[in-house]
Amino acid sequence: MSERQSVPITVLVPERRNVELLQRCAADPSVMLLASGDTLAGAGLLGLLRVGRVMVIAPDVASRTAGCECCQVRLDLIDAVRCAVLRRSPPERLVVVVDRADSAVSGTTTGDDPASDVITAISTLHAGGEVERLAHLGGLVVDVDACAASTRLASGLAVWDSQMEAAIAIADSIVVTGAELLTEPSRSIIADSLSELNRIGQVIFCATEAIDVERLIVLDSWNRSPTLSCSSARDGGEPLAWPEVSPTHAEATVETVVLHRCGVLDSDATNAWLDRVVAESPRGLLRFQAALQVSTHHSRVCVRGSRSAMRSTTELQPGSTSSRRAPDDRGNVVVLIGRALDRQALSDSFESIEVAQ
Amino acid sequence: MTSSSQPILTTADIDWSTVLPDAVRVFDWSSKGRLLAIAADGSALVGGPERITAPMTPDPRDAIWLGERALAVVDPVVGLVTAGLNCGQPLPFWGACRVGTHGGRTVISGDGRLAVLGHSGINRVPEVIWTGVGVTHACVHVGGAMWALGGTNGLALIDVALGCVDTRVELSGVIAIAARGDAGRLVASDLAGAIHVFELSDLDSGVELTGYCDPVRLLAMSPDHRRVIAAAADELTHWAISDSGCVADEPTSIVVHDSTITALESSDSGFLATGDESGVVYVWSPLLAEHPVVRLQLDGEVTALAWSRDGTRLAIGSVSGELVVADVRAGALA
Repeated sequence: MSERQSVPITVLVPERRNVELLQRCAADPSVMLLASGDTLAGAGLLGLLRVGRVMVIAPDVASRTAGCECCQVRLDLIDAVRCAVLRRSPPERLVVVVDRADSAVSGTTTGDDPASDVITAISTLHAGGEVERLAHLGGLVVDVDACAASTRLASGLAVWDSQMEAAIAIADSIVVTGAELLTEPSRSIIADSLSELNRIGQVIFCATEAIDVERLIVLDSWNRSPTLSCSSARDGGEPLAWPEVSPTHAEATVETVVLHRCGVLDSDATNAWLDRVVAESPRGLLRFQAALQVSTHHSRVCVRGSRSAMRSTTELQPGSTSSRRAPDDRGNVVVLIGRALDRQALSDSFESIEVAQ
Repeated sequence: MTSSSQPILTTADIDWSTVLPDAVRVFDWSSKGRLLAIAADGSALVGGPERITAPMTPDPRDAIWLGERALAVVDPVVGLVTAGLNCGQPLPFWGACRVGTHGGRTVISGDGRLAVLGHSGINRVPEVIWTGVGVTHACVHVGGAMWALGGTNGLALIDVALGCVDTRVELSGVIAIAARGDAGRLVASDLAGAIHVFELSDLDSGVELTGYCDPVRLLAMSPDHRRVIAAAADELTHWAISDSGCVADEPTSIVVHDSTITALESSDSGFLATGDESGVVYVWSPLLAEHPVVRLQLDGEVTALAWSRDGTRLAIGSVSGELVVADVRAGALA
């Protein structure tokens, strides 16, 4: 009996319906695309239903705790992942398209519709149970329409609504399409706006036809130690100090907190700290990712999650299949992305975790 | 099966096996013992291994026999596809995910609606009932003209003869329902990981069973209505119910599977079958609840199980498309 591999999932959030990007994703025979019927029809991909290369999903949001927004999950995604993976020849990768509400596309302020909220989709993929058994989140790709963003900027409108802002802040890759139509200053403003918001991913400016789709969607960002974008990373044990939010983007309320610490931490105290962080701001915590040294004999533990959903795995070194190894000197790193995070309190409480005896 | 030939221990002999083009998703046995199996690519095994059809729908979610000669398959995009009823075109029903039949009525449930059709008029415009439970995740016949539907917003009892919702209960995402028509009782699991035991006569006062980390997708009720059986991870839990309807405070927990249980089905004769992601299938006797009496091994994760109506045949399907039909003979001791 062959061992089934966990199928990686890439979540794709197009700001507008980028037909060409979807078509190029669908052209890869190892990929199965999960998207709404309208999106697939608009991209001319509904015919792939017949050969099992795409699957139609329709947001079906329920809360694990009645009335609790941070416990919302998308039941349709759980079903779809199950149906997509439990095949004789399962796809090598799933690409889940989270459609934006029409009002968001037009640049107006959206409500908090959980159906178009990428955080709800991300939380669902961390919610355990069937999804965790069959698949895992590999990465999040956000497709930004440069012309629309530039127009909103020039018009004095909010550049991103709250859901798009959250999606950009936690994205592993941000593709800015249509930027070739902008002037250099406009491109710079958009680039600055994105890099202020997102500290962990890469921003790619290019035309859709120039995108290397395989490189774009083959990500394994969530199951490893958090990485910071080049302009953000720095050595040393102190928490990173990010530049203040510029006055032109005062509406950017999502912030990134990076915590560093050396030594081997007490595992129980670390667990308690993580639980406390999640409990104190479940709705505001959009993404968290950490690599923590909690044993003198084993590799670091990688923790990732969103809102109240949290998962952990042992960090595997390249070429290694065992978690048993001497602790390294890379220490502990925690990245928290969210709204209304108390940077100082988080830093203080992280520093107060006991060291392992 | 005569008593003189009854073995001491329960046995399961493989009658026949075959391989479908894709993972086995759904089984249904007809009242005369014909098997319907639907694979993930939509192809169907009808009656026996010599008759496997071309794909009927791209993404089949449920399928049933309509009598002995016709069958119906539902697909969230295509709707209802039938074979054997001289209906050339599928019946469009966006979001269709469950189908059932009883007493000459066929019901299709989907995105907030329940469509009710008669066998002879399957191509007519159906009667549509708005259920109020959102997207349906479970649909079970509970006796007479009553059907229980579980969905995103809760649980509803629907009277398909009157065409209306009889009772509705708000729950946070009903995942699975188990019921037996003559029990007057149903069991539903929700997204929070709780199991609710309801008397049909009073849905407002159910008993909540907790202790599960994740939502319980696999639920069953024993034919004597005295046990609720749930599978979560590699553990089976049995909740005893007394004559007066009181549910035990703690379940009996049984861990025999080495990996996650992926299929669970109880028969009308009291046998229980469980399958796991390693391809192991255990059959459990009502006389010996804590130890399996039969073990079978398939070549991949067990994706579907179904007992024939008389409880003597067990159909088992795996993710690789392997399909096995076993004759189960009840033993005198177990």
